Amino acid sequence: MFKNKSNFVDVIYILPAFIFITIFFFYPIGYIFGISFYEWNGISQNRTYVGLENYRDFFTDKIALKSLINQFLWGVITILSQMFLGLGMAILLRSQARFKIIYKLIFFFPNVIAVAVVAYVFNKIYDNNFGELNLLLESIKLNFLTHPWLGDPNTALYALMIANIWQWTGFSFLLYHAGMTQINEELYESARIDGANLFAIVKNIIIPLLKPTHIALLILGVIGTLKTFDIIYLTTKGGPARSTEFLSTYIFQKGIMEFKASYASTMALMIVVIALILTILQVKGYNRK
Amino acid sequence: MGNFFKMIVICFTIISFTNIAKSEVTYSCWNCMMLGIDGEGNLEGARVDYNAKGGPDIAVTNYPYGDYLQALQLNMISGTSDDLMAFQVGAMINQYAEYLEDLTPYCEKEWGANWKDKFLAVGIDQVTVDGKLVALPQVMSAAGALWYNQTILDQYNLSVPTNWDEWISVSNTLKDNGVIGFMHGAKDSWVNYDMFIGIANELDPGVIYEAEAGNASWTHDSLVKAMSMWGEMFSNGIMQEGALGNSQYPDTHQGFTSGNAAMMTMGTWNNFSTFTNEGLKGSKASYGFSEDFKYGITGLPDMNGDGKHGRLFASPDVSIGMSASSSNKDEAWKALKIIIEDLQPTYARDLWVPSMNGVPFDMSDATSDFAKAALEYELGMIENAYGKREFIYAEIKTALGDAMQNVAVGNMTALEAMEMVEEASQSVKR
Repeated sequence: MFKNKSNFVDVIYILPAFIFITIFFFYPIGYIFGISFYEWNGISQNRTYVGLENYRDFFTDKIALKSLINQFLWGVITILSQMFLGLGMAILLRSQARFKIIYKLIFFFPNVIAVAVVAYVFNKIYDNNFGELNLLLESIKLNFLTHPWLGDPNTALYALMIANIWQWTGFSFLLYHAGMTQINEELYESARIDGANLFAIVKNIIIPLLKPTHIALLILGVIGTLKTFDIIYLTTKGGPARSTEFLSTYIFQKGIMEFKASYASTMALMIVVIALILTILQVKGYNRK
Repeated sequence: MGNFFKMIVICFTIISFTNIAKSEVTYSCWNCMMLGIDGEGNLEGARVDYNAKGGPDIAVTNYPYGDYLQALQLNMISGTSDDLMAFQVGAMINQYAEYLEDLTPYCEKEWGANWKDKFLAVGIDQVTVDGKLVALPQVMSAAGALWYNQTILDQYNLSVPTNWDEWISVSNTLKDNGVIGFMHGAKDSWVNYDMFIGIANELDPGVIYEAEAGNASWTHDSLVKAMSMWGEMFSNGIMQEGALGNSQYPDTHQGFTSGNAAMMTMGTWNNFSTFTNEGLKGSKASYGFSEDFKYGITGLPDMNGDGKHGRLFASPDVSIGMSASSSNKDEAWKALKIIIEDLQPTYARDLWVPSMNGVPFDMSDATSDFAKAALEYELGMIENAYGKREFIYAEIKTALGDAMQNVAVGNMTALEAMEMVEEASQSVKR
């Protein structure tokens, strides 16, 4: 079976991970794939085979489409903003600023707060009647800017994006900061001797050499976007009028609140497929010279 | 000798665990009616009374509602459900009916052939699925009431609105004075359903239930009008600005209780936190206010022009079923009987509406004579209640929730919204 002892040892090394992945990854995916062909409430002992009906429903479901669009917007805006701000903060902190440690702590602090706390705090801040944001605007005579931030379908998603960016930019900053410590100081000195200004250094040295960090943040950001649930559920519950609905919250609603386990499984499978495609694209992009 | 001693210890351990497993009743719920243990490990509230009544040992697991739904589903299909479980009537209990014990024989044995007479009829109807009694109602909740803060109304020389136009006028007058008139947590579907049922029943009683049963269309004129009036509330000044961003708990409850809003719609489950000294003390501590307000309760303002305010509608707030696969059914029934029957005075003490006849509110801890009068008025409305709160079909519930939000934000007309609900209704397998 094995050509030599080395092959056998390879298999032994791989086996624990293979068993783990099979039980906790492939089996659940196979299970939800199986029940996606049934009509089932997730509870009853009776299931009805419906073939591809759940898939057909998914591709014609306006709320699922709206959720995907919301998630796409969320991903693009939050990931790019966090990367841009995180990189900016890392560059600023690279200078000989005083109290570096304190700045690092402040930047990273939101990252360690539980999402439930962030959701609660921003819910209060955005409250139309008693929220700090509107009270602040009123106090500086900008009443015309006060707004029901989470109560308006045109602003709710963006308001939550700000909360998300506030919380996770510190993580991008930390990775960029760590990445920049790996860049040889001599490169900066050479660039300065050649007369390069900060913009040229950032453009020609920092950004290209931080490519692995960009890719890591992109992959983590995309996965984080696909998994986003708690901040939405705890603030807007997907509303108003589905304006902040995500596939994850929609799956919860369908599977748990409406007892449509098979349709929820179909959507969960779609998330896996989307995550797989995006990850392959990102890894291919990374490997491209 | 050492091994012999170890064997004895192991045997005793196994025997004691076996005994616990046999006698202890397990009960899971999302709102355990204080049948629990406080943060310091002490028994609290109804649990003390439960023990005093000689109830079997009971292990209570209390979950947040969302977690409970997931745990219940998982426990049920994996055959590890607790002996007793709490349910919401309507869509939820219908899904689990096949796993629940028919309680009729237990009730007949305990209370005789006329056992149903002991309960409020509307409660028993809603825990009966296809002729099977799958649970018993613990307490009832009646919704469709307008709660008002008389102190605020007096301050601006206003009266409690008795009709639609007065409701608009009072709300706008308060708004012009920098006070929220009517506050509503439109982010929460459940309170939107309460409002819609209240309006629909006021305009044309019962049509909404006919539509749910598939005997009438959701595009019925009175239902479209109800949806239209709901939508108008967001533009005519009744609803506070940003209502769709507010939840009923804690936002609206806090706004109303702490005197920042003069009116809200709420139900009997809120009595404790507003009308009892103990409950209000908790509200004051949570929300950080110290003023004493005069809170009152009335029906929704008249909308059909008959000069009468809207009627309340009620459902079991929590109902408790027994697992059909429980190996501990006799003990579980003993526990259930105590929770359902013997603890009714305990629930009434906290101003829950009892599910059994002949158990009066205990107003001994009411905050004031004004509060007592409000509760008396509420009791009168409960006796005159009409219809139920909970929908049976999840699809209709979701569609109605979506329709209401879409009308509220102006994405749909009332008719378009009700057509959407009708479409969902037609897809339901009744």
